[in-house]
Amino acid sequence: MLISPPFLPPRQPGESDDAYVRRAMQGDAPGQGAFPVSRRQQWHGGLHLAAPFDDSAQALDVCAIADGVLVHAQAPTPYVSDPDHPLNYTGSWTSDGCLVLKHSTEIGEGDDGAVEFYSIYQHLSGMPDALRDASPGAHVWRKDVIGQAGRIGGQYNRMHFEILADDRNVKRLMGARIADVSTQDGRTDACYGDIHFVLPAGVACCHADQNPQGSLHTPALQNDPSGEPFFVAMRYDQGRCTLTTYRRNGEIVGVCEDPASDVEYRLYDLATKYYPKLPSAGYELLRLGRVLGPDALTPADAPHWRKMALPSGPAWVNLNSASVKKYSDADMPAWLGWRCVDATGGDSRCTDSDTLDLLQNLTASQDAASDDDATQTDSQGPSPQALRLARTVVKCTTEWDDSTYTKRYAWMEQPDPDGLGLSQEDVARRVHHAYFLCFWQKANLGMDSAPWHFEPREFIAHFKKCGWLSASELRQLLPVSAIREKARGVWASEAVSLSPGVERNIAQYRTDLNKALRKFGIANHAFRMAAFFGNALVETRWFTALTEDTTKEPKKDHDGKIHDDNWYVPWQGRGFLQLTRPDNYFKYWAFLGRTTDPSLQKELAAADEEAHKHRDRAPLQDAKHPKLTPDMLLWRNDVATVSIEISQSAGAYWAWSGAAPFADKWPVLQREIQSLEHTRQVYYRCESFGQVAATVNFGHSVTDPSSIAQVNGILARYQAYTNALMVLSEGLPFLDARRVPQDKPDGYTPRREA
Amino acid sequence: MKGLRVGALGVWLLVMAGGYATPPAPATAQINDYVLDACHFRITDPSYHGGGEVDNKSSKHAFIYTANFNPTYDQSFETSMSFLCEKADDTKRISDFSGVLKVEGGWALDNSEPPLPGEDRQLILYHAKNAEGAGVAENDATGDEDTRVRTLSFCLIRRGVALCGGARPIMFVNDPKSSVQDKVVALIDSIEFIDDAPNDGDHHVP
Repeated sequence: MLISPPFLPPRQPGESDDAYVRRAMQGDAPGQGAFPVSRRQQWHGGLHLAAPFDDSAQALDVCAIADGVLVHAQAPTPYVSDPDHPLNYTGSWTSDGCLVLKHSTEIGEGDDGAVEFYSIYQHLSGMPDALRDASPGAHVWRKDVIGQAGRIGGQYNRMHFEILADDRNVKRLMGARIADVSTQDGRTDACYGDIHFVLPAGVACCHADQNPQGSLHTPALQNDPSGEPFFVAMRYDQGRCTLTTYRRNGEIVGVCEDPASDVEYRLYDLATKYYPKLPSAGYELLRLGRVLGPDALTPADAPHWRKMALPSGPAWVNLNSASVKKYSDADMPAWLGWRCVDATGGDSRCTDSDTLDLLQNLTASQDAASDDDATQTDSQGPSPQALRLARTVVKCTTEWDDSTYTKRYAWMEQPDPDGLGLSQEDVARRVHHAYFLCFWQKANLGMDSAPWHFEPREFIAHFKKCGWLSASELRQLLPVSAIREKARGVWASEAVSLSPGVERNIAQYRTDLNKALRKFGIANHAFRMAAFFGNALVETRWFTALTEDTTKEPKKDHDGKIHDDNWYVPWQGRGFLQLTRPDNYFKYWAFLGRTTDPSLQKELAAADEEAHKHRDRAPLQDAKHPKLTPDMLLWRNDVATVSIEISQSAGAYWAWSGAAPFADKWPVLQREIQSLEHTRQVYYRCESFGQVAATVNFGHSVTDPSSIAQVNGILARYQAYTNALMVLSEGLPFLDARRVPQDKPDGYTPRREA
Repeated sequence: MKGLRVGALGVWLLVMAGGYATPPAPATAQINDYVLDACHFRITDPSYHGGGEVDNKSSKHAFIYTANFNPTYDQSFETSMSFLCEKADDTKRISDFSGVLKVEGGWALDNSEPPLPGEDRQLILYHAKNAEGAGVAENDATGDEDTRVRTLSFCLIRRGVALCGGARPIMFVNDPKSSVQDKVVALIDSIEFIDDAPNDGDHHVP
């Protein structure tokens, strides 16, 4: 799932996705357009958001949050000053432009990984003609401008924004709500974001200074004396690893950060050190807290020690103990505040005591806060109370269904203290106003009028951590064209097509690719994903070839010597990042726990050196190396043909080649121009990405950045990277010819195949 | 990857090719049965000695076949084929995977995306033992001209399932003598769906 906020202000350098989403979506306050309860303690299924302003004090447009299809469009009624007009009911104008989009995407594999939800954009003052005139079912693409925020009760540049799902899809989006989380692990069809561990009361731990992992001595264990279970969140970010310990009620016990600031970047080394029999499974254990497979941890009870904060002080706990249960953000853990409230039985008022308690606590904490920041969206993020309220998922009758109006609002006609004592005339005006805004019957969403409502800001912030790509999202990563040096100094731009072969490759390899991106920590970081695909797309000739084309005939140079560009055949590139040359294949097989003859490895290394030196493939031919077993020849071929190998080989190479530190850098994009045969082409050069390309193409980063230009197909890689940034991220600045930042690259054409 | 090589329920037969003035030497035909999800089929490999395996370890199961169809060609190369089992009623997927559209009375090239210069798209009709199908043969139209190849895509449809796949390379674009297109098409035509497969009803198309 790829998702964005409905307003897209420029991103600040180094700003996290979470901070960006919260900055882009502001304007609500308790009692004033907040979720899930707003005025007079009535359920409120969405947020009232204020459009941020750009540098020229213009309110930003409203954008689609995800790819989808149009379900309902209602053009806004032109403003009139008549105080009796239903849209002037509150004493000032309320805009009634409205769009409803349906989003079908994936958060994981299998049936339960496929999800559908709706986004509602209400109180728009304008929308593009194309949408106004479009029929239901028309495609809308994420980040497309779909309208302008209008007026709510006289406040300008405001929008009511809502996210809905039906019963079936809430189960898929949230996973099974496990009653006793100490008895089973979380879902495996989806796994993303932070990894969570449920520690039983009295968990065995040790207070050693050093990591017991790999120690010759069994650590002296003692049981935690506090007598309560703990909930530990493990987060990797920018090379660091942090473990935060919570109590069941979400209270933080403490935070423990790994002292090595690059521990995430060294996971490959740690996996080979701690889990030498099958480092691949060990890597997954270190990254995901459990082994989702298909590799099996060897031995199955190999420990996974982590230092964490406990009330008795920092302690090491073996997280691979059977008594420790494993979850991820995909389970929307209850101890972090995620909960479902079914409020379909009553009227529009909230009677759920837990929700009202949270609301009261939030109000009290805000009153106590010295900065009086009602929205609590400062740099520290939302308060724990606000977060828990935002993670309430509510099933309640939509306010946009006029057929349920009486049931929801009859209480208002009652006298104080149960109602508002509205007169018949008040009620009539109110009903008329509501009917102007209601669309549920017209929109025909195909579900009853009591859907589940998510707090939109929290929903978007949460699912930005997912990173699982649907087929459509993966297709969009292919740029529509790319430039190539046809002959020395002659450049051309070529169309990149979605051939039947590309479509089949996407269908065949996508799930394993998503799993590899997850396992190797690429999936939930837009910049890492962009850097990965910026290379993988070029290496595979835009997803057409999973093995390097080595059909070029060797050439003879002027003095008759053979010069073979493909001197490393039959160890040519295979897989998404084109694993090449014997040493990389053997390294990969060792990562998979496959035993090979060390003397053969030495022999092939010498042959590789010889072949490289003379630019001649003869020394590497299989017939010259009888120690190569039939299994090895099959393993080598599998890297180009077996889906899981195609993806996992690329992930392993990414991990050991040290690409991530460069991919994590803020992309500084330099606008460049390449002259083509008949025209000129703008592209964006990026040094940090160029270093990733060097690790992929040369096997290592470079000390002299100018040598990045020697990377094979570097301009096409820059183009693929830029296109991927557009697909995977938002708010990045691209300079135009006048060096003015724009929200898209010069000449950008998105791929629009559904 | 030993675990992958379990799909073949093969038998070896000696067959005599007919129709020659002088009877040719007996060729060894390899007949293998494969179960790929709901697709249960048999392939007759006349003499290519290709390696076929069902990949059940990966998330999306596939049948993979690799062979050197033209060992006498001076620049020997292997053609890799990959087959997926799909639902026959998923017309969009079948069209996306094969490059052709089902039209009244047959098949037509899907030209919704206009052909690129040099692509040389060709409609191929398949007449397998008990299934019909179609696909496209086309050249790479991007990338280094020296390494462009021709590829094949196809879907064979039988009752509720479609066996879709592709082959790459089937020819070096700059050397038509390298073409193995006819041999690959013949191999696909040799496919026979086995409808009375044991547990046939238990297999599902993912």
